[in-house]
Amino acid sequence: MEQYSILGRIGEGAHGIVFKAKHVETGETVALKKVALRKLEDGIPNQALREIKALQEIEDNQCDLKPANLLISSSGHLKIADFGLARLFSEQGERLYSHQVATRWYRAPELLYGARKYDEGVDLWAVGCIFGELLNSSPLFPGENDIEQLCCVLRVLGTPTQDTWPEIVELPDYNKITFKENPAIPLEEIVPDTPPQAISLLYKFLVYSSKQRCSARRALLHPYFFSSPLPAHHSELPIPHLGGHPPRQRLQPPSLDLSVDLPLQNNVVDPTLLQGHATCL
Amino acid sequence: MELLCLEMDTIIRARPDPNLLCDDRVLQRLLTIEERFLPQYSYFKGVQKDIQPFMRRMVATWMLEVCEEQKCEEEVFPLAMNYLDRFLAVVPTKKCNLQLLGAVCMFLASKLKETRPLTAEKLCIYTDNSIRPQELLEWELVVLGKLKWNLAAVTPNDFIEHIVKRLPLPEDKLALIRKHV
Repeated sequence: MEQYSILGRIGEGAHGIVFKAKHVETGETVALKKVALRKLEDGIPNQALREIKALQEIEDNQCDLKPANLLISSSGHLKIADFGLARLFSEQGERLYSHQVATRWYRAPELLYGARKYDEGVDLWAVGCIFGELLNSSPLFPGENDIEQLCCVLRVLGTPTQDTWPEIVELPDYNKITFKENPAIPLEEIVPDTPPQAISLLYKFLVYSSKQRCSARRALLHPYFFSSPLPAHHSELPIPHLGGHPPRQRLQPPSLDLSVDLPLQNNVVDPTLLQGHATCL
Repeated sequence: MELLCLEMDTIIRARPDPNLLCDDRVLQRLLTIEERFLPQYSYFKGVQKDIQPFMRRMVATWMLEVCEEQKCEEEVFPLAMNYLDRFLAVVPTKKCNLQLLGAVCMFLASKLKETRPLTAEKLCIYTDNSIRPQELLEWELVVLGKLKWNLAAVTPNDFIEHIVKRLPLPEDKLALIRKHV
């Protein structure tokens, strides 16, 4: 306890009090939980043991970044979820496991080469893949299996060399597989009709060497975010329909019998009916 | 509608989740985590001067008996043994403290896994009162410290359902097979 200086109280729960504190040596801000020992005769409460277990697990887990895990709340805020082990409840049994495939598309190349130790770089790679997918409206590296996944990446970034990826020689599966050499394809060709600033940002994430990928903090200072179209305030974002289910008719395509004999107004489709179907609106 | 409160004194347990059992990533991750919780090396050759392999067997047999008589969850015993081995791999221990250590390990494993964990008092009775609850609580902190509070070890039990799920076994024999593993 001497290592920490208490700055204030954050909250109080059934099992203890949580304090805001500072680790004196490193200056790091931490949360400290003081657990009440109510039943002294049974030692450390199992609640506390399980909380510690849960915290260790959170520390262990890299979040699984992919479009399916990105949610937009009704207030327009982006939420990162992890449905890693959850499944969509679906009547068509065969679709249940489809997300497994999806995860692979965002997997960093070092993971595909069997890296045991990895860092936040795997998330930055996933960010690059998601960004590219947003620009292109289709996944950048849709590999059908792990080997093909590597092929997809190598085809675009070019076969890695000691120069482009110094750490590759240390990866467990480096020697197990070799690919035919091919040069990199410019990202402009992979993500066509994209402003140069966006391409430039994409280049910052899709780098073989994990250490060289642009950090999230630095990425936010990239010119892309300061050039037109400027980022929208979250209140301006098109948000999911409030109150759960959208009206039923939106699920069906608007059924209108267009006819040149009818007055023009009768042929104009109500734009709200089209929202679910036309991406341009 | 039934409005009576039907809560009984039984422990409600979740059914095995096929989404977890059929996903190779879960198995893969279990294998990775397992490595982290394996005792470093055979401690009889280095760390331990007093404790012999047959003593480990004796304390293990006693622990299994306690767990069975107390109808502990199946994973409690292997988890307690994991704690015991990890502790013995780093701390030279006197043989007179081995049963105390075994009791502490069951105490911790039971707290982590069970709805109604074993009490300190009960464990002391099982040692024929050769240890006192106070000692058990003091050693609890020592063991936790030496295990660096890492209690969520992967044990062989965690793999049973994954393996059973992947084998072409007849449905009607499953209960029997589970019992025998």
